[in-house]
Amino acid sequence: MKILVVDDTEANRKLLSWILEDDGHTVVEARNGQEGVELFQSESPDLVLMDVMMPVMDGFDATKAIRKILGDTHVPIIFLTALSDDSSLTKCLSVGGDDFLSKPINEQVLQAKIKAHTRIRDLSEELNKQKVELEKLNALTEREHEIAKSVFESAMSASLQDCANTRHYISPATTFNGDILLSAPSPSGGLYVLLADFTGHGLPAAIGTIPLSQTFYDCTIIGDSVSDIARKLNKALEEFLPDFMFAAAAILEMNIDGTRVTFWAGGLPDIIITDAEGKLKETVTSMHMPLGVLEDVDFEREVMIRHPEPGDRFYVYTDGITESENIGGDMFGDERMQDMFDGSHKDPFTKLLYDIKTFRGNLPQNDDITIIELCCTSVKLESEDNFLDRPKGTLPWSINMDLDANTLIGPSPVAQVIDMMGASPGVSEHKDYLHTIMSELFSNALEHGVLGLSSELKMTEDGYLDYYQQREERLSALDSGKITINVEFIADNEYGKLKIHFNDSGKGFDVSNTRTSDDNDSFGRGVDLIKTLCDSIEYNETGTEVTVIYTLKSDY
Amino acid sequence: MPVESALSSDKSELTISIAGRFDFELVQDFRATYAEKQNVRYTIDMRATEHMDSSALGMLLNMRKTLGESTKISIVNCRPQIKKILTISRFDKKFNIE
Repeated sequence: MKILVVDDTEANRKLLSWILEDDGHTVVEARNGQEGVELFQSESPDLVLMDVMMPVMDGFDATKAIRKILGDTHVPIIFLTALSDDSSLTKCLSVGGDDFLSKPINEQVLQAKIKAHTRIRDLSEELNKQKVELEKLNALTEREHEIAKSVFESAMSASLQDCANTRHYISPATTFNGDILLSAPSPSGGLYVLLADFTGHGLPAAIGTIPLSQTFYDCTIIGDSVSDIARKLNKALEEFLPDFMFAAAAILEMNIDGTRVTFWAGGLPDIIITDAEGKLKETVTSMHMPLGVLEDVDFEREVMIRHPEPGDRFYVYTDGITESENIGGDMFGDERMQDMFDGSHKDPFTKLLYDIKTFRGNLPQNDDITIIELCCTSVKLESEDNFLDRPKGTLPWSINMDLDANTLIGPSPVAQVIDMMGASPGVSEHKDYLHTIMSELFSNALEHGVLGLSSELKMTEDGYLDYYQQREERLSALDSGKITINVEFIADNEYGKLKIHFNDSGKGFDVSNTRTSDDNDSFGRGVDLIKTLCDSIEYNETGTEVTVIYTLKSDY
Repeated sequence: MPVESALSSDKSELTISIAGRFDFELVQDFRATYAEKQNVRYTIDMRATEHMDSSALGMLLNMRKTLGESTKISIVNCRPQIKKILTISRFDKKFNIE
């Protein structure tokens, strides 16, 4: 150990050096306070022995200066003093000394004090090291939390904002929320809602929200049923999360008119259904186990279906609400919850949130709280205008397809023709209607033309089956016959027109004797469909050729 | 399976789902879902139905004839183009189309 001895008396310095070097320490000698400060800086000793009364700068000032240089690091300074009055000794400590030794120096006491202060110094060094590490770790954790938080926020951001049909309240107990509330439109114009509460709260609980939200959106985009969504979410969680982690959840789907709510619920508090006045109609207990518990093969996918009156409301919430505790340790409970909905409150949602807060008082929130109100009226979402930048086809083209008996036996060519047409700008948006038109035209050409089947067969339900059976038989035995499909794109100043032409090798039919079907007929509807979807339909005299014109309007 | 049917948990409603193309290829499967008459309301879920043609319209009418006018049959979750086909064919007179 390197020890700095600051003393103006040479004899004292020599004596100390002799003792210390004998014990294996290195000694640096300074003759006064100022020299002591300078040497302290240049030599960085591990311990300082400091005389009090010295010329140029005394021990008190030197100690103050050294402490200033040291800042947070600790190097023990032991005063060597002949003074013995209390005030002098107190001053030694108050200027920054750690201890004092009375002159004349006793060798054993000196050695013991050096040992003791070395220990303190080592401890302090260790402590400092740990403090630095801790600070680093803390900064790292904070950074990681920031990153994680932004990941979660983007995972949730695809969720719809509240629309006219929903109101919600989310209050996590920590930075991370173990509750998750998502909503998404359905392809048929309805609304999906997912509310899930993971076991525990904080970061570990929040981790599960990532696979859950991704799976949910994958499902809602393709318009899965509630039962399918529940099963897929369960599978995702079961595979992704450790066994002890699962999520109590409810998945709801309301149709576009708000007249039908299909839902699956597992492990959540009772769902509350009220009328438009906020009066309780029904409580529905979760019928299933939470998501992520059962393996896929055992999963129970049965859903509940309700047909609400206009203005009825569904309240779905996590147990953070009913398990809110007041200062006396009482829980808010189901009863208080249901009392909200006795019809005396105009706005039970707002009243409930207020009551929960009042109930809890100043106590901290002990779990994540989430509630959503779903109002059963027509779904109103802001729809984007898809038609603004639709491409226009400007180049004329045509497709011709000659189908002989061999190819007619195979799968229907309609899908392929539609795909070819859809490759042209401005056509793909019309694919669905074109599919219907082409299917009808092809069925007619094949069934009534080439195969010579009569619609009369379809008069009865058994005949209906018979018809399609005969179709199959005649088709598989087909050895001659032909259908030609021709599609022509005619460009104009707007989106253009499609001229679709079918020609078949059948006997044709009496064009002057086409009848319109009435509401009860289970046949003859194809032509009506074509007439409504197209601008015009024309047959040739013998009924073996048909031409329809379809305008690619911007608004369809 | 393009045609699936499932009873609700309280056994009061039978949901028949049709995926992909709804046409004559499904005539047997579709009929099988309601062949055994049950005292339930029927819901045809068309969320996954991409296309339908006039043969499917015929199949729906046959279902209506078999079950009788008093049975509640709803057609739900139709995509816009499917809904248009049902409307053109005036199916709203015979079915509850949501």
